[in-house]
Amino acid sequence: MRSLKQTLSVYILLGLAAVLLLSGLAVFLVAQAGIRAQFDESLMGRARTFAALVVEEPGENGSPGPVILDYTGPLSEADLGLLLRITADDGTAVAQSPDWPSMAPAELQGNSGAALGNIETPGHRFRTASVEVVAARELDEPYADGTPRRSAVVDVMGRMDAVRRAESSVASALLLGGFLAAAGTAAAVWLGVRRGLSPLRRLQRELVQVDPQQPQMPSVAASYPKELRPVTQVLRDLLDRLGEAMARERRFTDAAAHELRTPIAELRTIASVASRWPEPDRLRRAADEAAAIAEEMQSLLEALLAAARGGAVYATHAREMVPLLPMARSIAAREQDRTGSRALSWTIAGDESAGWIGPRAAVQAVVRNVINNAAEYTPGGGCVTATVERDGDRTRLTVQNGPVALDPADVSRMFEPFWRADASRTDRAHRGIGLYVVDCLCRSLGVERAAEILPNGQLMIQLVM
Amino acid sequence: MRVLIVEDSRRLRESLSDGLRAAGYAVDAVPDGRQGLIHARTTSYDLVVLDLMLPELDGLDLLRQYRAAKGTAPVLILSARDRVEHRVDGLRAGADDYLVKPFSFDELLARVEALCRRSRGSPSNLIRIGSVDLDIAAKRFVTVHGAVPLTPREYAVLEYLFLNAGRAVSRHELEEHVYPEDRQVWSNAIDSAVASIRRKLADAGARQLVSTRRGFGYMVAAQGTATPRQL
Repeated sequence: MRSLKQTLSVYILLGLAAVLLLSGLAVFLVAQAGIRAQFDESLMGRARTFAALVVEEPGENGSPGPVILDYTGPLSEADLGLLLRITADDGTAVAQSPDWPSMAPAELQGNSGAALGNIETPGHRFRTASVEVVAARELDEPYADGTPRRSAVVDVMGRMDAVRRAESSVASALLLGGFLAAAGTAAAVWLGVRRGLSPLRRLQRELVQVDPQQPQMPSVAASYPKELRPVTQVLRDLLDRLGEAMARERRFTDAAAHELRTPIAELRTIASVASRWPEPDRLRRAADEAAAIAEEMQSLLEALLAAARGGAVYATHAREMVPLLPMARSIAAREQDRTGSRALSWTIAGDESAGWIGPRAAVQAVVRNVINNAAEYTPGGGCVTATVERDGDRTRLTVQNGPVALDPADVSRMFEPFWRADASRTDRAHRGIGLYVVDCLCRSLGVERAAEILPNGQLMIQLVM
Repeated sequence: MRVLIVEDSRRLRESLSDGLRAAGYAVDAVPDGRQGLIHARTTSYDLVVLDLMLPELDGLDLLRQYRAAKGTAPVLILSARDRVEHRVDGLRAGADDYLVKPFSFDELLARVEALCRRSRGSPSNLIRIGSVDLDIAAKRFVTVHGAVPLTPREYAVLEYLFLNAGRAVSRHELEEHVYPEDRQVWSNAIDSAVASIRRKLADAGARQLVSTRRGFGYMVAAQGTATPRQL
């Protein structure tokens, strides 16, 4: 594929060539017309000059006399710079250049009466001018008997050679000028294109230097020409998203490894100690603990798989309208029993008929996890609120709980797997998977989710379908 | 030797305590960083085994505060964080060793022994004083007549005196380093143990090593470094 520089250069130079060609041609044609008009004018002027020298000599008894040329100089082309022929009205030759071409027609004007014309002889081309003149008389007055005054036709011919030489000079000048202009412009175009493309080369160098582990654009978009700013901004956004995705993956990998390392460490230590000091009580305790650890690891892996598969688990389930409020009420009742000792206050309210469309089990998993999370992380004496309301043709589930000991910055990470506000691992039940499951299922159901820390210190999660 | 374990995982805490006690150490174990810091600052431990991701107070913060308070006990970090930067952070915060979970208990035990030995300035696992060899790795005292049959508590007392040879060790200090905090210690327990040790050493043909410094405590006289004896 042709390079950008080549494409730009070719199109610019082709355009320039076309412009130079057309403008050069126009200039040449204008110059040519001017040269020829000037030549014609010169010829005509000379013809008129000689016409003014045509006189009628007095005739006998007052009758018309012969027509003569009142000019005594040489009539050759070399002397006049043109060829001359004067013919009287009776067809007699009044004057003629000795080198008048014999092949020239008798009447240059022809039937059309044109004053100007062209004649070609072998090897030469002539421009002709003809003027019909009434011969001057001493007494410049008509004859008494009405006889017409004597007249003559003055023909002049000029060779086109000079015109052609002039035209050639103009053409040569235009060609030379055009060539120089083209060369200069080509150089300017090359420099301009090269300079114009240098931001692209800089962009390329910067992209090559991007650290694949922490991708980000080294330069701000404003440092690029405005034509490239949208591209660099898109690249910056893309690299930022890529960096965030990689960071999430690293956190997930680290968290998953950590989650698995601790139970494995427990298992190894219990087994090693029991093996080293194999007393019956110790062996029995070790076996019981090993079984419990294995069960917890299995539960963790299954939760991870369910989250990773998202809605695919429910792909074969029928989709239906699932009212949210009755479901939330039922789940909240179970959570109230479970957390009874912490004296949480519960409020479940809203539109009874509003709901989401989807597999019932998937919807239930979302609602259960988000309410369970709210109940789990609300301190004793706190409150949990779940509200279902319509918003146009959409249904919003809002779950609020608190007060919570979270920073606003935690909100962006709380739906990541294994994330917990308290990074310790005191309670195997708090694996930080619940909201991750919510996130995965929301994506598959088409539910939009949002979370924020309210000014009163409560956490609010909103799910909208 | 008395060891403090700060680990929030109940199973790991209990199994480590069980294993180290079986190996002859007096062990205190706490589940969070706040309690760990209190214990470390108020009790003289020979070693602290410290998890990093703790509730109440993070392990690294605990360690920094302990060192800032002039705490000198060796610290062995146990953590699932395995990146180089995590190990570097831990060692720079004041830890003496860093072991990544999951780990071999045998390796943990060997590192605990090494740290305790180094903290007492003992370059070797074998210490000879008089005609008695202390084999720290094997947890036994040996004379030319063979091993001296000591109970775990008697061994712990004599080991501590050997590791602090040349210095009078008070009864209170011996109680602190030989018994865990959850044990009710009779007021004459140490005296009784020392008396039993003297009898057994005499029976083994070893000259008396443990002398009483009235008003100061008990002492084992220091001698040259041990030459490994064929046991």
